[in-house]
Amino acid sequence: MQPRTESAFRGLYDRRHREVLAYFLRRTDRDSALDCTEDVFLVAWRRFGDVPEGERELRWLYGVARHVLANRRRSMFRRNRLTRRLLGLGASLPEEPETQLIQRIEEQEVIDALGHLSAGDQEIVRLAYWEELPHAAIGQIVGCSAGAVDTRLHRAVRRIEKELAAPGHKPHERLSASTGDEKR
Amino acid sequence: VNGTVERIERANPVPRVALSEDEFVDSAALYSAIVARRDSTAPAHTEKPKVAAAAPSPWYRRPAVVALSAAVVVVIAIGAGALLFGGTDTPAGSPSPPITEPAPSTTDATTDVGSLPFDFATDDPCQWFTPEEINEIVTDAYIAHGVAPPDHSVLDCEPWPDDFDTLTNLEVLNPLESWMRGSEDPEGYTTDPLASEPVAGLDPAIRVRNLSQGCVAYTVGVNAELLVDGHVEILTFTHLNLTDGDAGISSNRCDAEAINPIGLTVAESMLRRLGWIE
Repeated sequence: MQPRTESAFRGLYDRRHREVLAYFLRRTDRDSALDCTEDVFLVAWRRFGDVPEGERELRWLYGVARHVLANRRRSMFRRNRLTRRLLGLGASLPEEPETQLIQRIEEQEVIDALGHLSAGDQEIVRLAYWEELPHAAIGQIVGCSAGAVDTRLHRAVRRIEKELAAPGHKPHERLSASTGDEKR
Repeated sequence: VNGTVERIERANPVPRVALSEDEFVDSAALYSAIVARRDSTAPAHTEKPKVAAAAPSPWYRRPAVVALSAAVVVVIAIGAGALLFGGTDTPAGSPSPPITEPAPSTTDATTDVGSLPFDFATDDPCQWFTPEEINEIVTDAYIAHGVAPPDHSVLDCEPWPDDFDTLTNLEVLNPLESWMRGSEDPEGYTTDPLASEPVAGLDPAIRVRNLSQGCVAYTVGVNAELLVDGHVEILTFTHLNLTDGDAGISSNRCDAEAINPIGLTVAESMLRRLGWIE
């Protein structure tokens, strides 16, 4: 356990703020990512005695980050749903900010396929391949065993693979489909 | 699969190499913003208060229908008492009538279920069950408690946020209060799971472990894990509860008012279907 001092907190921030911000930038827009990063470090300050030392501190911060993001999304969704109901429209999610960030079609298709997984599986895939965490650490963050992470990760990748292989999901097919009307 | 993994890695919006670039973030400005927010709320959060258990929500924080019901019950009780003791000539010093514990009411739970805000995410049960199975389990649980089942609520498990609109009857899957370790500022998120415990009302082989609970910003997050002796897998119920909206930021108070005995039946039924208990 680390004593909570300004210098210790600053040290934690200096070591980890880029990784925490990157976690959010991989999942939301920049303004939200900055706000969420602030939230994470505010929690870290309040609970400084609980922040583990060494490599585990990043897992702890990711765990907090996951909750912060989930809370923010639920809050956003509720607001969005209410607004749409007031307008007499059906509920829908706010547009995922990744769609604004990823321009390349091939990458966008992967993002789309990833978005069709359950929230839990999405998080496991991102933690594994974007945050590059070992499975045991992922298990600690999402609340399941490393074995369950293995299974869910394998299943998720196979599902993404299957979706990417489906007709209409190859970049050249999408391009030709989108220009088909013009050719006719 | 390897090719797919490579594509997933390439699709990373923020590759690791980007983190070291100067323009990635204005670190000093971000730190200043954090410190400003921290210091503006410092008095309320400098020390973690220790509270043994979450107090139930006071009546005035409960929905109007609950408060009204409570008032009606009190009025009826007073009236009944007046009839029983005021209307009969009970001699002074005679033995008091035997006191019997009222039978637990299953309909009370239903009232509470209906009044609770939506706070449940199915992403964990949906790892194990299809929407049809979840609907069947929930329906059976309601029937077992002698309560009219809700309409089928889980229409689709994926993508999970779409379920929000259709899950208004599944608050039964909220973790029970007894599964939570509530306090004004609870134990908080931890990667060190608390010791698992048996729970009254569930099969003795089942243990409940509260993996994480914490006030994060203005919400409460709880992962209540159901474990069974001899099984590696875990069934997790996730509960996220918006407390007082933005006002909750200042109080940082955690409410644990999701209590529903039907949820016990649902949990045990799920574990039974998984074959983890006989």
